[in-house]
Amino acid sequence: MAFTITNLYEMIGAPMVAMIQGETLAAQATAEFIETVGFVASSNPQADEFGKLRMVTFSYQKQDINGQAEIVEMQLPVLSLIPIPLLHIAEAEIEFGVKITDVVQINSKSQFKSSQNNNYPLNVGLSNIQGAITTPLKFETQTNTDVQMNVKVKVAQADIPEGLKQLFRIFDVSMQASAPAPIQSSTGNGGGTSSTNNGGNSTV
Amino acid sequence: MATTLKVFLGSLLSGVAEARMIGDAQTAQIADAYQKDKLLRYFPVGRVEIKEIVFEVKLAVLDVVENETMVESTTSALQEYRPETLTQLKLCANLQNYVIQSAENTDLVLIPTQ
Repeated sequence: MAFTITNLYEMIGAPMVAMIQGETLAAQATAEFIETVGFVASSNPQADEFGKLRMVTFSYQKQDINGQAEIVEMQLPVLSLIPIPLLHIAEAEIEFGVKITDVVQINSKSQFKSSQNNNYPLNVGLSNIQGAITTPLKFETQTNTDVQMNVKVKVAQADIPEGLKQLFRIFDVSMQASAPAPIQSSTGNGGGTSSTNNGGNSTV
Repeated sequence: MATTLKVFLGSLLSGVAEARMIGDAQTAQIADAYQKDKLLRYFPVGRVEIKEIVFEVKLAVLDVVENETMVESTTSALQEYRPETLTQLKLCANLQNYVIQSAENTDLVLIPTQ
């Protein structure tokens, strides 16, 4: 079986990209869940709004202050009654073996020079390892040289960088809020029934 | 192909740095797409970073010339050596995060977060 030769940074970067893309798919699924379950489909799906909040209506019997039985109706958003599946990768460990095929030096545009002594320039060009991914093996028990390098990467969720935080603050400022329609609570006929209907509008 | 040890080690570390760049570029692309979606814009954008990376490598040390350690590092070339003569190198790298802080009329300053 022929192995594909790739760069080391691609071997390390590809699982990271896969995790980010996996999280993106999970977020999209969650977003669809919220929109489908929590909101009544908008008549204009292209519009930048969710449409009406899907509500569930309960009615139950209780005694008023005079001791008289009365039927009370209550509406709750469906989203408040069910768990929303929101997942993210907390930590991952990737381990693979590498058959090194080449160490390539790349001509770098920048050359680092020591400010203390220009007679000793730190003329370090960039370099890159190329190789093929294979199964990692335990070096202690390995007697051949088929797999020459084991790589173990521990990846975790990163904090949001300061620049992105500032960007999010700008988004917050640009958000427009409008007063939501009040949740209706009224008395009516019948008791012990429940149904779903359309409630307050929610726009973004 | 023989190379110097410093070039080999530099290749490992630059590989990590470039891998992180690929991950960050992907995150930036996704953040841009999230912002355009009516619901996803409220979701945190997935961003992963390498906390720790361990390389275990077998090398053949060929020579030390003028403070330069010459090594053989490719798998095909190492087939010519007896396994017990190879040197095992273990490189553990903990990645330090840096935050770029800017202020008016001052240069950018890199401050370690840990």
